[in-house]
Amino acid sequence: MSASPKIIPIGKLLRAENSRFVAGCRVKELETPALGSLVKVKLEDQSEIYGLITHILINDDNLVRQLVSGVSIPSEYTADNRYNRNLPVEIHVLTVGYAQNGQIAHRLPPRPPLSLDQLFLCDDADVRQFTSQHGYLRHILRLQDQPIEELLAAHFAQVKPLQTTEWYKTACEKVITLLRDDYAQLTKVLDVLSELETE
Amino acid sequence: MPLNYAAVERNANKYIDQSLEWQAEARRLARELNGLYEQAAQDSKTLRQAIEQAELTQAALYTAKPSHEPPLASFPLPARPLNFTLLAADGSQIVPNRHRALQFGLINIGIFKVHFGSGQPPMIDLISELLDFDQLFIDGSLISEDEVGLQRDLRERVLIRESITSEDPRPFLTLTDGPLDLFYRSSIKGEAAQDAQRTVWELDQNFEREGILSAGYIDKPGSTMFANMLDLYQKHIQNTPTNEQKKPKLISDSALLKDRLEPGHRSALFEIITKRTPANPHRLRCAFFFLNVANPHGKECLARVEVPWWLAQKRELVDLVHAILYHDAQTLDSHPYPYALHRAHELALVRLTETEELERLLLSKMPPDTPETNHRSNKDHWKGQK
Repeated sequence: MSASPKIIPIGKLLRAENSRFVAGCRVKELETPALGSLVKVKLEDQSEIYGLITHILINDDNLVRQLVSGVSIPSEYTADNRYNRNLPVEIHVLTVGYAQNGQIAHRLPPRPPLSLDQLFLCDDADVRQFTSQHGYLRHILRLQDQPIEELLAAHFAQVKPLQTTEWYKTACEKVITLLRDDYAQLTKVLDVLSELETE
Repeated sequence: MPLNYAAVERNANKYIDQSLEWQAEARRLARELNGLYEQAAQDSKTLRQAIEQAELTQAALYTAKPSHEPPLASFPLPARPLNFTLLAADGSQIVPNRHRALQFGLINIGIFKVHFGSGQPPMIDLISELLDFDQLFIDGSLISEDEVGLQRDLRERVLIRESITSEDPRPFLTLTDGPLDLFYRSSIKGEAAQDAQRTVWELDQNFEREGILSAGYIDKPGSTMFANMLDLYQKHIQNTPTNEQKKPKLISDSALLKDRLEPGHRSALFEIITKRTPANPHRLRCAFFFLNVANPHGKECLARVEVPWWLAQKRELVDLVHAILYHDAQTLDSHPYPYALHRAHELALVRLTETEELERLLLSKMPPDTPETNHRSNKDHWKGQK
């Protein structure tokens, strides 16, 4: 894949495995990444690993815990903890595919990214290209202990304006097919998607 | 097993008995000295005379001397200004160790500057200075922890000065951990100590001209300046020679002040009288007060605050230091301690992992076949094994 001038670096890898990885960033860098956003890591061999942000974790430590229970905190010290202190925000990412020699695959990559690799937010062209096929949705539906319906809704809200009406219809059909044996989960997904349609 | 707990257990009861006995003796002494303190406070002219006489006759002295404020006075928390600058600095160091593969030393200073009233994040700075190889040895021997500590303290003061700009809102208070003067490094003798004290004195002269306030904050103080002062007073009224070798009954200043200060209140100001031979004419003259930094319903928590003597002469400036430090300590109100100082310490702290990382970096730059390097002592090697 060619490098896009619009891609925004949002953090660096803390730890990784084939199916998921975690990046860290400072609070001031937290304005761009959002739940369900498509992100990617560029590897040294020029291949790219794609993922969806599944949750964002704000860490604490003893000092923050003390400040929380304190009577009053000057606004300057709130800002100190948000912008100066070395407490990375953790961005948890579900791997949904990779690109090698310009070819996108919705399978897990041969190897995970490495620590300190940079994480980028995908631009519109990237999102359009990666989501043009729906195979990657199976990775989302396989997630355990996560509000899958919320993640799908957040992701579809990002992609829907960039794709055609036909794309969205096919995506919904794909989700229904994949969840045909899990009625409870399917009901929750359809419920939240209907909310998305009324927006 | 890291400890022989059975052996420790055998001595633990004895230790507890001795400790309780010592505490009971300290309480008895505190009662005794409290009576003498109240007597001396009523007779502050004689008290001052006793100290002035000792200043003339004794070669070494470390005591408190009453200022213009009545010794038993307690001052409530004044109002804090809305806009001011607070700058805290703290440092840590790596002391050269002959057991390591390389001998190296480092000074690490954290600077934390807040413009209160701006709502902006504080400015932070970390200054890491690797000592030159030439600085590591004095008369052929590796420098000691005290010597590295002195260099760190001096660098800290100079960097504070360099961090103050004309754009910083006034009033401006600089804050360091520990005493303002550097007399406490008793193992450093002669010119090195005098030069260091002179630098601190010159920096303070500069601060005075510019109206920059400075304070040293001593948490859980163990000083015995009041006990020394009362010993001089007692000898004076009993006409006992002040240079008599009998050791005074020492209890800490904070034990003597126990239950005398409400939360937020400060004690009267006292001058710090320190005298060593040879005397240094260019030495910072300091005053101190005790501050109960406990929250309004908390357990008494006394800190000693040292300020330059010129600052102590102006009540409005003392009020500023009093209010700013109390409020800053209240940010961490379960264990009150100035937040700015805690952050400066957090910035500066060098951990063992960083020391090892730095050693690896230096070794990687050393030609691989360099003799006399590249191996730790066998003792250090085995200490590092898990």
